Amino acid sequence: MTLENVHNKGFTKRARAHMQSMDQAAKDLQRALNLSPEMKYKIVSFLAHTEQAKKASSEEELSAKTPVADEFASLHFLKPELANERPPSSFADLRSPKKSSHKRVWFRSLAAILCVVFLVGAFALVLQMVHQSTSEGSSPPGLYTATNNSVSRLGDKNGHLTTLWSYTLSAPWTEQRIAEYNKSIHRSASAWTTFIDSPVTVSGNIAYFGGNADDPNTHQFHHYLYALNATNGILLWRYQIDGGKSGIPSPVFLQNGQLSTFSLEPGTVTGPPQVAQDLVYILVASKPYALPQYSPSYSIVALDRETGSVHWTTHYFADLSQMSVASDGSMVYTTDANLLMAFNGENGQKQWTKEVSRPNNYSGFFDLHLVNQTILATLSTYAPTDPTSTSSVYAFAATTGELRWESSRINGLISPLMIDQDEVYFGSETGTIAALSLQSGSLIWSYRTKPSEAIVSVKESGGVLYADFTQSGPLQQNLPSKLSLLALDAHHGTLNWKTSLPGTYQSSLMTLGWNESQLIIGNSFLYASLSDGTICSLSISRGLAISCDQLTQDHTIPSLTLIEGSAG
Amino acid sequence: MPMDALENSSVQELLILLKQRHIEALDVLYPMYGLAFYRYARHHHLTHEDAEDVVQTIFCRLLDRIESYDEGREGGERWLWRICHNQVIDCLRRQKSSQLPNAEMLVGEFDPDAYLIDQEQVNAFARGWAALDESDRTELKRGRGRGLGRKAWHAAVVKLRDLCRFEE
Repeated sequence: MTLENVHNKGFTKRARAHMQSMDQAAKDLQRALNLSPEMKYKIVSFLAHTEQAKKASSEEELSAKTPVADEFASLHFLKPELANERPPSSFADLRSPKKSSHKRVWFRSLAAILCVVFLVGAFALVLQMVHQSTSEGSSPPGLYTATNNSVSRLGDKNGHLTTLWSYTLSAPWTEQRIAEYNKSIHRSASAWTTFIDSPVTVSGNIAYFGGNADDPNTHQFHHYLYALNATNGILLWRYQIDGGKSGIPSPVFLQNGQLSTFSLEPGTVTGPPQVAQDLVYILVASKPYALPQYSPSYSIVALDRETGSVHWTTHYFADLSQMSVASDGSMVYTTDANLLMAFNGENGQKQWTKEVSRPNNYSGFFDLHLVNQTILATLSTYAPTDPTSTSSVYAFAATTGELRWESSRINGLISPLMIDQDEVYFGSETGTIAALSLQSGSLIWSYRTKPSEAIVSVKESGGVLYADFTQSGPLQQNLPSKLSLLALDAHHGTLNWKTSLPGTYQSSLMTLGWNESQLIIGNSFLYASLSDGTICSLSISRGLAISCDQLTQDHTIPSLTLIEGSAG
Repeated sequence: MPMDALENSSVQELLILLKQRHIEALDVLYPMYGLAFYRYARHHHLTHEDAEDVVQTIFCRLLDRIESYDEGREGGERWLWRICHNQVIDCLRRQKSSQLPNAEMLVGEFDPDAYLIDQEQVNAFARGWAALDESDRTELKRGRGRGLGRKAWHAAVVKLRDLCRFEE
């Protein structure tokens, strides 16, 4: 023990003794005079120093003459400035020692203002977060593209695209990986890589898309619904579609010892994910439609849009199916050949089925839209070698499925429908662009290009209808072709201008080259995706190419999703 | 150190003086906070005896910790009240949870009558104390003493009682 410690201990001992003797003397007096217990502490002050006690007594006399209704007024009569102080009623009071009434008021006012500012700020932040997470308008602007195995968000600066982020499912396989895989399946396979299944849907701050990924340990592919943070491309969650929760069978199937790549694999997300209210809906091909021994079937899976947890799943048999979800999430519509089906959006229960006649067993609904309580569907012959294929557009009441109108037959396959307030636009593989009345289905106008020019997609914006077309129709697969673009007056069908896009376009029915995500209008530009993985931005007035960027070397047609606004 | 100087010091200054082993600082601090701490303890439903013990313990802890008192960080009054609060909480924890305070133990709301009686007692005591001889004050300061008590103290108490003229 140091000398200092000894001194300290001695002082503490003396101080304690001094305090205790003072306390004891006061207690003796308090008892002897039969005073209240609290008087002991008041007597202490008299015992401690006589002069001050005199002063205190005179102050006490004054205060006794004008009593203040404050039991603590007499606590600190030795120090008048402390007379207004009260002991803290809670520990929180200890954090803000009270100096004076004026200061206390000032501090309380400041604290109140800070609290109000904090609460208002927090409320605004919560509102903003809710708004960001739920509303379409707050989606990060940009051009979202899905190529072979990656999804990207591109920023646009005067038509020039820059990559803001890119999410790749997995790297291409190495030779060793291919060899391992071939050994595991006892056959020879070419380089197998992961694929994006669907176009990207951006809702709130989340970008959704379907895609597969392989498990290096089990050599099994699994299909997933991916949810990325649309601002930075970070994976929020992914839902494994095959197996597990949805009960959909294993994704890899063998057909006569061959891996079938032609048909939709089980677990493939077909069409873009659709978001309504708090759910994201996906249509999943759950069995290979090319396998004769199985009845091809589909599943609708409704998941929580924020967490990916499954709300409900329903299965139905169909050869080829499309899905459209009501904006309020109340109903989900799907097709099966010539059947239109409606499911309850909240629990997946089937509500009704509507059947239409079809010209042959190879016909079915190709395209499905829901606009203003009207379901629009295209029925086409999907036998790719049928020269007599025709298409028709049907309109149904969304609530009951009642047929409202049926368009006259159109030669050949037709592109996905473009619908605005009053008109329905489409283009055919035989070079016809037509506008129908949304109310009656009657033909308003039609425009013919050359019969060899197949219309790939049509888009309307600002009273102008844009259409991209090839010189060789989709039936002539794998033939390189130029992709051209024309602009028509949307109300009269007269030609505004026509131009050719750079590069080549290779249409393919197998990949459903009739992809409505290939021509996008927004930010005063046209964006067109080409078969060599190139995206071109063009001036909306003349169709002049401003910039063309090749996103991938995989010769896939990038699907495009545009959220308008400046994204750098 | 003159008492006037002590009385005009802030709490922080008093604590610094105590840290510098000026035992006189305790003569100001104890009367200044003894009653406040006692009432705080009673306010937390401690009995009179427990509250008295807590006040004693608070000042003992203060003396134990005064060497480590950091006037730059701790503040003055806040430091004292923290010790007080901790001691009260410790005392409450020591009590069995089943031992609920009875009505007599509880400190009620502010009672104007009790306040006035208290004030009268203080005023009366102050009058008597002021009129008392210095020698009697010294006797009273020394305390009653053990056993039956010292005669001088008893004599001084009788004088004080007469001078105070407490109303029955």
